[in-house]
Amino acid sequence: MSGVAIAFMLLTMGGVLALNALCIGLWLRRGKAPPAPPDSTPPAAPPGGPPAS
Amino acid sequence: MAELEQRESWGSRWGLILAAAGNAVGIGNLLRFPAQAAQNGGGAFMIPYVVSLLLFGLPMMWIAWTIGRFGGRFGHGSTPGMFDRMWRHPAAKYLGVIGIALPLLFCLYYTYIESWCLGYAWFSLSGDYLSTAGRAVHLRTYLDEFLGNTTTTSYFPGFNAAITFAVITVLLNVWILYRGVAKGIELLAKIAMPALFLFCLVLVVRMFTLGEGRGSIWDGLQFLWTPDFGMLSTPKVWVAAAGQIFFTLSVGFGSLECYASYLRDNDDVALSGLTTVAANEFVEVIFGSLIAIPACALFFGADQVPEIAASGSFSIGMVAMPEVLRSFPGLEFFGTIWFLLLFFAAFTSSVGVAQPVMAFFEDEAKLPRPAAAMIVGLMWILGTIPILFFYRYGALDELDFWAGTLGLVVFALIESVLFAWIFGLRRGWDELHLGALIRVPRVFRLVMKYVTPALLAVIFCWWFVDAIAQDLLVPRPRVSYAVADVASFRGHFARGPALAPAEPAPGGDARSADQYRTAVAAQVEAVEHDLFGWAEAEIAADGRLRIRSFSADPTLLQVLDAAALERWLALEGFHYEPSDAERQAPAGAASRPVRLQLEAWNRAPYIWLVRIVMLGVIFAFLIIPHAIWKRRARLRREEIGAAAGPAGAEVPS
Repeated sequence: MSGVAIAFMLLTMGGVLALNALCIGLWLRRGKAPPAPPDSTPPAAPPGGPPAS
Repeated sequence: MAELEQRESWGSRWGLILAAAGNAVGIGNLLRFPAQAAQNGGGAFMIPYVVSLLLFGLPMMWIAWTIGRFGGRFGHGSTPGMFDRMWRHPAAKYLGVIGIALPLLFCLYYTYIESWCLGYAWFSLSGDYLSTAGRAVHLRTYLDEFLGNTTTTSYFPGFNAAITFAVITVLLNVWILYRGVAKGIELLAKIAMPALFLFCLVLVVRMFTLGEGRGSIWDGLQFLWTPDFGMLSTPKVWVAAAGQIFFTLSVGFGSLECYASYLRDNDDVALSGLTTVAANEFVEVIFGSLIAIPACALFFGADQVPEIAASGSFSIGMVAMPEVLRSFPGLEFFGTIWFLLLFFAAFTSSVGVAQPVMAFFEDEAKLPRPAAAMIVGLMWILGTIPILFFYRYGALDELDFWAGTLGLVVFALIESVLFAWIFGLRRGWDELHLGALIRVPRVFRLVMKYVTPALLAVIFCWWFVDAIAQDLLVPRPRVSYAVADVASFRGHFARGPALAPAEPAPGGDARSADQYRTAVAAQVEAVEHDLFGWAEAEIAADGRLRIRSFSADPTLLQVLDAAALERWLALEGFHYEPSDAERQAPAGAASRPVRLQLEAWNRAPYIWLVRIVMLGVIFAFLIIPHAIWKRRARLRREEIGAAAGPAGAEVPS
């Protein structure tokens, strides 16, 4: 394999791995925060009034 | 409120992420991506690919998740209800209907493709396509006969096997839908996605430990990743990259919206969307580039790889890969793993795409889940049958073009305009960040408002104009020929560079290969039915076919005789490549008799039938919701009227 091909492959795969690592890291970090309370309020009225029929 | 509380929900956040990733990860990740990259600049393809990902892949993913959670707040799991809440206009919900008609049409043919993978997993396990002493299995013919794409019967007497696997696949899908979101889709994702990753790992390890064949794994990687920067000046490459991003992320199906509709109000959608993209890219870029193309380079040699890559996704997956896998020990295991991998990838996608249709019947028609599953299953089975029987006429490709290609872009365009311009980008942005675990960079506001819709419009125009330029919209007859007794030959029949045909006599037949095809097609169009011909031939010393006799429908004989057929075959380079054993034998394969079958399929009536069915489905999905919504509006008026008192207050419309 040529150096350019290896460089492109490693750069792309590295980018994808980094993106996945970032996502996992964010989930783990945010996972430590207390979970949001369950939504017990009734749904808000549709924006701007009732839906058109 | 009571009906909102009855809606299902995800069992866990990871279950949702796996389901969304499973929805995005499909056969295209493992087959389409490497083929597209190889044909469009190799490593350089990744530049337009990443640009497309940023300019409309990721924005559309966020838009879909945001719309979905917003609609789910009001108890809507499908886009008619969602759009109605976003845009107070009578047309909104009818535009949303596209978001349930298209997924259903897509499922009709995608499940058939999915069932091929299941069928081939079984054939691998049973060693059905291993060549034996008395039966040489040629995988191209094997696939064509399995699908009923030809009338030869060397390996399959009909396409009963294909029908069986298609029915099993549809029933499996409906069963998952019937079980519901948490116990069906989420459970499937929790089993199938880890299995998919494991299968990919097993195959990558296997490929890298096979040693060397005619080439090596590194030849494949070299071919796939060497950048050809000159290709970047070609608009086709940019459109191909954009198309790949569009298909791989499964945006425009309404399925991600449906999945997000089962979230709670404060559940994150921003990081969830990003994670879905990340997981999809992991499978596509890493596993997609490390399995199929390198394996083909190893077995067939580096010089064959461009041709294999250009032959298309299915040819790579269902012909080239089985050829590689059966050539090394362990077909029963690794072949089964390969096709189960494809099957799981497709299975998690098809249930996701069908879920909006289920949600529509549950949320809008208020049907219980078993009834909704029964209706969806019935439509699915009935709709798949024409695809099965008319596959040879191009029914699948036709649906794929209108519903699975153009239709999806149109729907994504509608969705992006609705989100950014009608619902309002400010409200949409706030909605996206409600409960978000990350902040989306503000530059994406501009991208969502201007760039994403513009790019989608460009892709739509490009594909549509390209189809017109290639004359794809007018169904022409399909002309092909096949060796009827191919299983008795150890070598291969193949096309290659034109072989020098006998010089025509002065004033004799001097037609080109294209003119022969056109002449046969014209006869089919004239009589408006399929035409067939049968030739008795023998293999000459140089591999070409000498036609001894030719019998056919009289209409066909008006334009083709034995000499013309022989000349046509020579012009198309059709020849026999003997096996190694035959090369060493004194007589080789020369002078062996061959039976050739000419098939000319009259596609027009079936293609028009498919188009009518497509319009019928869309029309039905406009009529059914219309009736449902009218009834609900009437009931609401009656309730309001009753509450206002017997005097009969004025009822708002």
